[in-house]
Amino acid sequence: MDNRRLPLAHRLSRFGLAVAAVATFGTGATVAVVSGWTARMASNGQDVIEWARTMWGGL
Amino acid sequence: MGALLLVVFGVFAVVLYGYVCVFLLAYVTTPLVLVAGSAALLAGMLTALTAALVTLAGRDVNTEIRTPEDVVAGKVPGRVGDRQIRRDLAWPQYFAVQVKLDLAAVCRRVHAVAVEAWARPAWWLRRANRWLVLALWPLVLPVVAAFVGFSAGLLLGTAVVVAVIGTVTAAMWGLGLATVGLLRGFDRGWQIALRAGGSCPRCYEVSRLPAYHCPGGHPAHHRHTGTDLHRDVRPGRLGVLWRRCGCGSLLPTTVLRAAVRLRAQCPMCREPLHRGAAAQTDVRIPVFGAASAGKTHLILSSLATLEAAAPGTVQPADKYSDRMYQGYLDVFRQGESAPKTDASRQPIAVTLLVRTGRRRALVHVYDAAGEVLGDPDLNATLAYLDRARTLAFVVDPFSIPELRDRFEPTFQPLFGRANAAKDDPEQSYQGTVMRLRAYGVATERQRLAFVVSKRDLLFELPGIAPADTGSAAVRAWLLERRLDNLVTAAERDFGAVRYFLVAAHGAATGDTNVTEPFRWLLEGDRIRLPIPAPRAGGDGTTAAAPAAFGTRSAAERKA
Repeated sequence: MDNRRLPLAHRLSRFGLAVAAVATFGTGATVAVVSGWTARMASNGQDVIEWARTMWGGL
Repeated sequence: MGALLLVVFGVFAVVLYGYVCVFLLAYVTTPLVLVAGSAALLAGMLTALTAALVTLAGRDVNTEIRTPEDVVAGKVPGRVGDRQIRRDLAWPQYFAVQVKLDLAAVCRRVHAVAVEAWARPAWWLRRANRWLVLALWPLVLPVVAAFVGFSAGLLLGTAVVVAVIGTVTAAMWGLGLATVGLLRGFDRGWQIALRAGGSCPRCYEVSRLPAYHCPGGHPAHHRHTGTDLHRDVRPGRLGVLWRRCGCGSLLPTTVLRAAVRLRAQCPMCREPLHRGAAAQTDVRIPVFGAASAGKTHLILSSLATLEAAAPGTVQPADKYSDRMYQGYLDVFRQGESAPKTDASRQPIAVTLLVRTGRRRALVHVYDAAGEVLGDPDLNATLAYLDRARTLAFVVDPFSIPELRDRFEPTFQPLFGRANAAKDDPEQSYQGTVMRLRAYGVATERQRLAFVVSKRDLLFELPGIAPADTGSAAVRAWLLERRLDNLVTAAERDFGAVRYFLVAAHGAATGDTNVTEPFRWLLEGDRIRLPIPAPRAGGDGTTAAAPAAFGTRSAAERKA
């Protein structure tokens, strides 16, 4: 059923849940990128990404 | 030589294949597995999120929607009260039902994507050369990793979506339950504090939870079948603060708010209830006594006196009561007596709306024919007797055997004018009280106004009327009239008894004494009538003594 046929409370609840889901994924992605970047900095470039780049270079 | 060359070539080929495999594994497969797996994991998670967003945006046609019709059909969990018959035609609260269906739709959609994602490579694998695929395993591994990563991403994404929706739903349930408990508690507390209830004037049902008529546009068959009625407007699965009717109208929850905005009906017989029913103080006063004892006169005269003494604060609450009142005024103007109450019809309550300050109360006075009250077969239908906290018993002094034997031969015309009741007062009292006891009514918790009527005519008898109309004096007078058995029975049966001597025609002279029984009965429900109490005088028209005087409560009797 189209959202427009649902009561306003239902539509608002669904919208709220969608916002919560997007916010959670966004927060998760941000945390992953930041923590990955931090780990890379801490390992002075010798992290997995660097290793993969070396592999590609070797190829 | 050829065979040797073949062996050497074979060994070389195996070694070369092994070298290529190791080379690919180190420089191609591993990086590709990592990159493809990660990308596919991310893609899977985004796919799950997209599935959730599509469903929540209402773009998934396969999402099951719980409509008001489903609610009526019983597809919403939870207990439905016996008196509610079934759930009302209203949209269920989103987090009560629909969220589960949406979540199920998200899971179904993600599952369909996962099945589709694996179906294509499986089909390709079935058609491809199995040996070739095995030989090219270092190149196949990244593809497998991508599919595994995508599936894991779907799973992980769905888990996140479920966790988010589950957490929000749990939070909303917690908030909702707390609010529902608070609102229901306030509703009930209000009703208990104000002794509110919804009394049906016709079927005598007293409901804490009236049915409310939806003012929205409903089809005719809804009106016919009662589907437009909301029988349980309490906060719950169909809405916490508001509920959306199946017709689209927004209705308030809680009885207190519904009583202001909606039209209440009796949940049993669908008779319209008074405005504010179940939210205002509700007092039910059955008046009983022998036929011709003066019950109807007492009620209508009290109503007329009250309305005259405090215009605007006491008035008939409905058309029937107003018609009765106007009828009484007509009869009164013509100097006639009120017509005899029809014993063949169930009595309908005369309802008064009493406004005292900011408080409003509905007072229902029930007047059944004396023949019905005294007959155990007929009075079984008078269910209003069971639900009353206060009762009024009317005694015709001209039916007291001692007085009748002494004066009737001499004062025949006066007895004729008095239209003396034929039945013995004690007999008419026992007829009703035995019915109350038979139905398990705790009469010891009820208050009884013991009203001796026809005071004006009684004073025409020489030296017989009591010197005072205070409760103690009337009680003493009744004892002198050898009604000690009746007085003892009344004081034994009821929690509090008070005695009154009234003249129904007192309304003509502005004498408010006739209202005293109702004043005292209503005081038990903390309703103070906005008219001054008549002051005592020496002419026999004295009013009641102070509230406690002469009133015999159960505690006093024990003492």
